[in-house]
Amino acid sequence: MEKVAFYPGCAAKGASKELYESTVAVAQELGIPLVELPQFSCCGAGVLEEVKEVLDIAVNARNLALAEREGFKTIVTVCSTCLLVLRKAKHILDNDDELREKVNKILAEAGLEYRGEVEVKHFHWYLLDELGEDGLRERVKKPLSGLKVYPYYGCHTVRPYEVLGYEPSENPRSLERIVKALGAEPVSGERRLECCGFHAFWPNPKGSMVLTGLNLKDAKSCGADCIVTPCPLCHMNLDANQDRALKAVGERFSIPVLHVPQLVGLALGIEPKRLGLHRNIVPVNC
Amino acid sequence: MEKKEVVFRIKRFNPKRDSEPYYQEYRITVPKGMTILEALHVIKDEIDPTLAFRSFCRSAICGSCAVKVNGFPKLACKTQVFSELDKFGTDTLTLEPLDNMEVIRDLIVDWDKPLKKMEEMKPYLIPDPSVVPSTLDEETRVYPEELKKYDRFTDCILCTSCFSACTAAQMDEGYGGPFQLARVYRFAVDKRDALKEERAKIGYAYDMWNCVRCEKCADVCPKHVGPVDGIMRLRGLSIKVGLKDNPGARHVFAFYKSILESGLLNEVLLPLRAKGIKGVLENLPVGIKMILKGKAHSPIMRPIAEHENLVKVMKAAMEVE
Amino acid sequence: MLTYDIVIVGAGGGGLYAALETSRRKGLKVAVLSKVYPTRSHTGAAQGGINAALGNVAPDSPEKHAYDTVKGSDFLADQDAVELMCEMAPKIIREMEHMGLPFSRLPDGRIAQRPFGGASFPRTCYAADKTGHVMLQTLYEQCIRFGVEFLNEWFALSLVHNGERIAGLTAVNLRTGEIVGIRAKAVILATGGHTRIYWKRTSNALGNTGDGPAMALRAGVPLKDMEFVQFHPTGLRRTGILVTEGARGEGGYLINAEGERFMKRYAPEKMELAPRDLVSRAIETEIMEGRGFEDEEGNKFVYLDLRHLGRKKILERLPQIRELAIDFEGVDPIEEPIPIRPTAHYSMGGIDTDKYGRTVIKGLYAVGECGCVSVHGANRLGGNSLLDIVVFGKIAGEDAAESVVGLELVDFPEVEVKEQEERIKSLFDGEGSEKLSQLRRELSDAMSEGVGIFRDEERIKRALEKVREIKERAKKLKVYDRELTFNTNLQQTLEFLNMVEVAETIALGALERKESRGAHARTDYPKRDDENFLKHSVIRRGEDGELRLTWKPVVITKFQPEERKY
Ligand SMILES: Cc1cc2nc3c(=O)[nH]c(=O)nc-3n(C[C@H](O)[C@H](O)[C@H](O)COP(=O)(O)OP(=O)(O)OC[C@H]3O[C@@H](n4cnc5c(N)ncnc54)[C@H](O)[C@@H]3O)c2cc1C
Ligand code: SF4
Ligand code: SF4
Ligand code: FES
Repeated sequence: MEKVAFYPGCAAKGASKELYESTVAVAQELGIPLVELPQFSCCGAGVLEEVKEVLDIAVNARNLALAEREGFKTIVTVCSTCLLVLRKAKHILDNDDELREKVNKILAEAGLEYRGEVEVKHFHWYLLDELGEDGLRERVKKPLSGLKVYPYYGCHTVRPYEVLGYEPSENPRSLERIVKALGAEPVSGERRLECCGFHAFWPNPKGSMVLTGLNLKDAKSCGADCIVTPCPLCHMNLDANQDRALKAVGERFSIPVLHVPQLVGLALGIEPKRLGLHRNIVPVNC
Repeated sequence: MEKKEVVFRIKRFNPKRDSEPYYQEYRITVPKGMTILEALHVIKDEIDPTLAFRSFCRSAICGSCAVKVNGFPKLACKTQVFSELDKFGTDTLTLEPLDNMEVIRDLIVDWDKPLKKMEEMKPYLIPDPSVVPSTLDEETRVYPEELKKYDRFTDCILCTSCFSACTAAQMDEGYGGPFQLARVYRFAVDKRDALKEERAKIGYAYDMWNCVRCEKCADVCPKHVGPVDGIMRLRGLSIKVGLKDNPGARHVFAFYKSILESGLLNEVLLPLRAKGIKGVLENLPVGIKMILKGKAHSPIMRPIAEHENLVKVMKAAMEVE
Repeated sequence: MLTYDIVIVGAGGGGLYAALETSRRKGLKVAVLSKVYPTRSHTGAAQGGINAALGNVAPDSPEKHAYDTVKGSDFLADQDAVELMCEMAPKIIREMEHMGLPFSRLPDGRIAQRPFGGASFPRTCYAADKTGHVMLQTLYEQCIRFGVEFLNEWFALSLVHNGERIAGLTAVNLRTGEIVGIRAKAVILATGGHTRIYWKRTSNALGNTGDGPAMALRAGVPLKDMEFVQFHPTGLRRTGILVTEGARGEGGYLINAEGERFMKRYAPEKMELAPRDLVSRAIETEIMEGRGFEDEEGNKFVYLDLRHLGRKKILERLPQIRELAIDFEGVDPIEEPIPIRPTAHYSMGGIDTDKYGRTVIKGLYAVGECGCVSVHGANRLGGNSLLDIVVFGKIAGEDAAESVVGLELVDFPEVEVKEQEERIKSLFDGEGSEKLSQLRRELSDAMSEGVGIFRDEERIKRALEKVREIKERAKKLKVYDRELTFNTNLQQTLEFLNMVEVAETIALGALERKESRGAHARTDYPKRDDENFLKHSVIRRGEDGELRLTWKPVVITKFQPEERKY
């Protein structure tokens, strides 16, 4: 396998350490040559666009250009919002020659150039592309038989299709494919593509909690044993804020929420500690 | 030529007559290339003349025909039946009226609510006499790069698909709505406009910070308007015109500052920076749990490698026009 | 009963400009009544642009614009009206620019202009390939700004007058199904075109059904030059959806099955940028003579090739065209040529008016595509209709606003509303032995066959007979939907009945005009005949219900008729 640039994102480096740990563990187990670039900066989570559009694009062009400079063809990230922000910057740069020129002038100040050669993928897309469902299934040591998993996509791996483009935004299947390959059973809920409200948490905590609460409720009513999500920000709302979210919709129960690599890691037989499962706020019994 | 039997499951409702909406199924043969609108017309012409839906231009420009197809807003005239069948791996398509608006009949919804919102938000240019010539012998000089700032936001055909899908609009009656806010932005960056950036205050009054950035508006928009991008930029303008003392704006500063300082986001300081001590207290229980689980990092972060070139890039970006 | 000073029927470019003009005058009660929400109007579908001699790209003048227009019209346009329009063009473009219209720009910041068919210079102002869309949006925005009142989704049924002055109209509120009498001192019709008559192959919206001309006809108001129907050269193969002339303006080629740019045989100088009537005939001739393509469904076509323009230019100037080609033909013009064939597009004819939009009934105006001033004569130049609608919308709006001051309302007999109720009731109670979709297809076939791109006596006669037969059979139509709320079945039936009435006038005009001029190409009279036919045909319905055709002179000021060569 060709080496890929690992872009963990600030959440995985910070409050969602377990995501970082589990990604590294799974990559090791599967022999994926993830190389983390110490130069990568925060993508700005779109918030930089609120400061100034070119700022957002320039900062991310820098990230892309760094990966290109180091000879990578692919950047892999484990955060949906990072994925969107990086891909969006790339999408704009690749389609707008004038802006690209402008941004390259900015990058030149730092001795960098964006050439448009590097791809950005989410970790679970990468797994599917490189190993396929069969390849993944072959590596499973402890099939998650009988486990009902609610694949919760949220927003930024699917929307907007124009920028993400991996699978139809109305009916993505990538998480279901992974869940199945691991021997578990995906349950399908009507809120799997709904927003968790994370990005409005600061201005509108209540609304944010209601959305998350509804999503949790949906998972429960589908009879799911746990939720799996490709996004640490969704995870933050679904897991760390679970009590508050359920309260906002007048419910009381608890349901474990796993990051994708945590679920994969369990099926690969990696011990829970290495997957950081002890850090999840809602206890995961496995 | 390829043909398929397709079942259209259509949600029907006449509030004047029916107590409840119901679904009715129609089975027709669809050739490859047929659009959903063409199929609706076949149903109306050949099976059921009472089926009510809107259509006009049948070329994706008038915005009349938006309906939900298997749950997602689409222009019926722009959407091929086969491509939807493929997407959902089915031979049944469910057609429903758009959300977030009252149903008048069957697939026809009442547009007045979202349009009224737009009307309240001053969706028109008020010419700035210092920019727009006072006689009709002259045109305003607008350079291509100035036009580019708002060009794509003028593509909106008011189909209301985004309003139907909008998470914020569903939660908050006071929310301006995606296409409405995007139009506010469109004028805010038109140099011919008298209000200019002050228009961001309209966005603020219409709860633009409540946008959850779910990207649904960008995803469903048949004209690639990307309303959410306009909203994000409008937020930026609101800060510029002085609406700084609110959680949204402070969150932006916190982010910016943090990235400039270290290249990374300082999540630990975010509550404090975004909402002050109140933010810290509100999030205390969760914060404590996170600390106990070893999820918190030190508030002092080590800068990334080559941090200096990030700073250069950020500074240069802040300076360019 | 509602009462206004002025009611404008139609919210396209023509109607909205008239509305804006009336809103300048304080104290007038004005409403715009439209069967669709304003921004749905078909003006929004206009792609290519709007003409004005701004001279931003090459030196130009209103006079040259006028000459091109008159020549394009095959000398049938009224030259005083043309001069007025071309003179006002630069000002009205700037007026819209000052309202915020996002025109495409030149590097120096002035409004960009592109070449269009039949024009001597790049004269067409545009906003990429969505000119009509941004125009309609801008005008609508300004109407909001000035508080214009809208009656959205109201369908006009009939005009009411006392033989001399307008009294108002009747309309059905589609939302409630209620039929309402509306009194007004002035009524401005701006109901758009009627080429939906060619149902199966047209660039027009489903609602471009000639409601205005049909209402006028029923009210005894004459129609003019109805035989002139423009077939646009480049409609998409399957649907007839338009590919703008701007595509050729930007340099697109027309290619036949032999890989040849065949326009060189028809218009060696102007090539693809010859006027529409000529290019459409050229394409049809190629197809008839076996040099076209045919697909598995039997659709015949030639290619419009844009590939040599390159990705960047296509994305920048023709983004919407690209998307239409992808969505409706599965063809990306960056990589493949677009299959096209002429499509019924525009009605040069319409309600007979003078250059203020006035009709024979005082206080009744017609503007835009539903009217006929005439500035397009026998063939309209691309980019001149958007201009026509705003210029004459403005003039009529102004004239109406002035004329109603101090005027009393004319008596509006209640029975007018009753009559419409009866008429609609009879449709509910129809026999139902005829089927709407079937009749519509037959009408479309008869018209395409008989009064399409090429015509002759026998074919026209057949079409006329067929239309009259359909008119009879249409009496057996039935509206199956009996609901009051949003009865689209009723609406489509009313629209069809309007189309049949208008179709008859097209065929009649075509039969009587025994010459070839502009879009009216008779193979049995292949030459223009200025001696006998340099005049407008005028059709009105008499008291007995029969159509009567008379003639009216053309206004000639500066430009004497000459042979039309490109
Ligand atoms: C696809 C296409 C592309 C074109 N491109 C160009 C171009 O590039 N340049 C150019 O100059 N011209 C172009 N044209 C022609 C031009 O767009 C039209 O002629 C023009 O827009 C007509 O405007 P209007 O205001 O007369 O009518 P429309 O815009 O058609 O408006 C008619 C209005 O009348 C209302 N109405 C109709 N009947 C009723 C009724 N019974 N009751 C109530 N309301 C009613 C409708 O609701 C609508 O609001 C194009 C036309 C088409 C079809
Ligand atoms: S991104 Fe914002 S505006 Fe767009 S749909 Fe989501 S909440 Fe609404
Ligand atoms: S922004 Fe797009 S989806 Fe929303 S109303 Fe406008 S065209 Fe429709
Ligand atoms: S019918 Fe006009 S957008 Fe679909």
